[in-house]
Amino acid sequence: MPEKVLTINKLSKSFGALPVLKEISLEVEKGEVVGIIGPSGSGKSTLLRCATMLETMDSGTLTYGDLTVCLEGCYADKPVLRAARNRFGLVFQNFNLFPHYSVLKNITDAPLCVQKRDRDEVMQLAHSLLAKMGLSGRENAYPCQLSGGQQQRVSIVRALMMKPEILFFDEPTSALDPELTGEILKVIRQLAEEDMTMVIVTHEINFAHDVADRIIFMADGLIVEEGLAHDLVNAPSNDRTRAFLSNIMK
Amino acid sequence: MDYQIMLTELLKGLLVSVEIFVLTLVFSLPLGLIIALGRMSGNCIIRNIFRVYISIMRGTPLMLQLLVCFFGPYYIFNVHLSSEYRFIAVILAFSLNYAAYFAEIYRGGIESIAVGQYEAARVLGYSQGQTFFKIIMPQVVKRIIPAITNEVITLVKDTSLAFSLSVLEMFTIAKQISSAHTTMIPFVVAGVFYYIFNFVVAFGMGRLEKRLNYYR
Amino acid sequence: MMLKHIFALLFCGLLLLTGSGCSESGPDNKFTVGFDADFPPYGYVENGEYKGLDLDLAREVARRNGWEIELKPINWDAKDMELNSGSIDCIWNGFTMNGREDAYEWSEPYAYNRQVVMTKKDSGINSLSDLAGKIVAVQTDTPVQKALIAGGSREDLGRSFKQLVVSPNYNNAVMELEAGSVDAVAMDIGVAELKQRGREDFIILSEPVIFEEYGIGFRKGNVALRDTVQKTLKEMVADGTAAAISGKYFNGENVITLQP
Repeated sequence: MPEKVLTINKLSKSFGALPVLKEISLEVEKGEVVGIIGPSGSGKSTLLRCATMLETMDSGTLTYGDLTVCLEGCYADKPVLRAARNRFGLVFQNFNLFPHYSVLKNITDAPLCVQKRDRDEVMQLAHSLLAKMGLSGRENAYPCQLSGGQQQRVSIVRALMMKPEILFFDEPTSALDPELTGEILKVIRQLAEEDMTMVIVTHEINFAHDVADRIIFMADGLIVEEGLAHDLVNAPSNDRTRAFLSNIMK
Repeated sequence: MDYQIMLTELLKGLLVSVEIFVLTLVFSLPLGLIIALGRMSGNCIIRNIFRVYISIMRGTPLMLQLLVCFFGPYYIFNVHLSSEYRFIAVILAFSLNYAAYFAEIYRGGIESIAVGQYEAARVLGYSQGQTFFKIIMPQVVKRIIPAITNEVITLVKDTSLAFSLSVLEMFTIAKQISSAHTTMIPFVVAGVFYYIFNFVVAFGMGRLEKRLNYYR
Repeated sequence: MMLKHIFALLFCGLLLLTGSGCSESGPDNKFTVGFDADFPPYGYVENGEYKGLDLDLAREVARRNGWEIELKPINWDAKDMELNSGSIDCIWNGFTMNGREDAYEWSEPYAYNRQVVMTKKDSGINSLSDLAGKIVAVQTDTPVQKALIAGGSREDLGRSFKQLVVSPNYNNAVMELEAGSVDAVAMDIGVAELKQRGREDFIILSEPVIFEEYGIGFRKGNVALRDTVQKTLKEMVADGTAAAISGKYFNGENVITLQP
């Protein structure tokens, strides 16, 4: 049986009286790439924020491998939450790099000061990842000196430096100029080829189709349709999916 | 009038002003941060205590606060005062007063930091303390330096209020020489000294601002 | 010298800005008296009104000359600027002549005064020599301060103190005496008696620190106004008005020494 990295069961979340997620269930296997698409307000970003513990869920269960973060709405103790945070990485739409740190410090500070890993090992990994992302030589630059595409690549490196088992992307190209989205998509595609487990919230249907194994279509806080990437994009079975896709393809 | 003596006297006063200035900053800058954190506390009782504190310190004259700090212990608790307490009361009142202003500047700075910075730090596993001191505060400091500079320059000039507790600083000495000799020259000299003092302070703060200019 | 020139320029600029020239004649019908409102019984505030020996004398002088009087409480430290800039016509407020003889156009002295020491009854201080090693407060820029510091007429006495504390006003000095941060306050007898009223724990030493004369200070060169005021004041002494006013503030005692 394939190993499950992330399991979400019947997750619900409301903002005040407004329900944004209604009993969402989702499983992600090791090495799998899952794309989440849907109109704005469908709850896909909130789902990501609940999974990464930036929002608290009202009910349901959240599990990372053998670590149960939240069992039917009850959160675990702090050490468990801390351990779970070590298992995932998150790439933000707005990068959220630390502006007062150089590129190198941005990507090595948490491994050194939070994970307390060996300095030589961290530095070596940092340089090899920067090289892989085409950022060699920019170690001492500050975020404000980089283009949006470069900043987003740094923030991907920052997430990878923590050696996560699963990587979440929250619309990683939405804040970029169209001509810069290509370089990010290329990097993500490369990670997919290396069997990185990823959950990607995106507007780029073609990209999702290209890189994801499975695509989930969300609307009104529900998973409307879910299937293999090729099937869902080319032969959606649900009317709403069809409407959304044809609207976006235009 | 002997100019040599006048200059010596004014410089002695300047030294007292500098002493008040430095000690006030040493105590009020950290205290202001604590007050700012109290003011933003999640606990509504703590938050309101600090809100009232700031409101009182900003809403009443510093001169009154000086008098309360010095005479308060006697008139409220009947404590016998020593003359040495005079200078302590000046530093106490100045620190408590300036901390309230600094607290609001800190608060503005802290609240201006984008929530994404906190979220990024949280996802990377930074503790609350690490997040505050490594990620948030350095950015806050850069943002609030112009406002802090304003307060600090006001402080230089406010040191003359110490005379309400009979601490002779430069401006009071200038007034005394002036009235004893019926001349305005001590005021002109004192004005020049204040200007130089503030010029040095503004220059130092400007350098600090420039040093933090390496990022956005 | 350089500074003197700069100052002169600055001051001229200031005068131009405020538009207040230095008229050397007396007031046409307005008489502005500058005084320290913290100086009872010569000039002070009671129930929102300005009272005091000097202010009542000034009011009467103005009435007899048909002038409109303006009583202007001033910052004592800025009295010379007030006077020289023409915003007041005279300083009339228990104003000691001794040591300032050449700085103003003075009237004849109209009252004598002495500066005394007030202390707590249980302080063990019974004479000026007991003040050795004690902390003594004075008000800033008063004759008694000038007498006690280096170069003053009672320099020796001042040197015997542990510390001479310079307070911004009498009230602060007396509060400090009460609170115990100073051992004694050297001040004007009139103020001392007023502060001691109803206070059994305060005593006033009979041995004065200095004697002094009170006069009315006019702007240098403003002889005409000085003469008019002095003439009227002498008339008031002659007809007993001055003595009556004095009695009101000094328990029936006549402190006016001016001769008609």
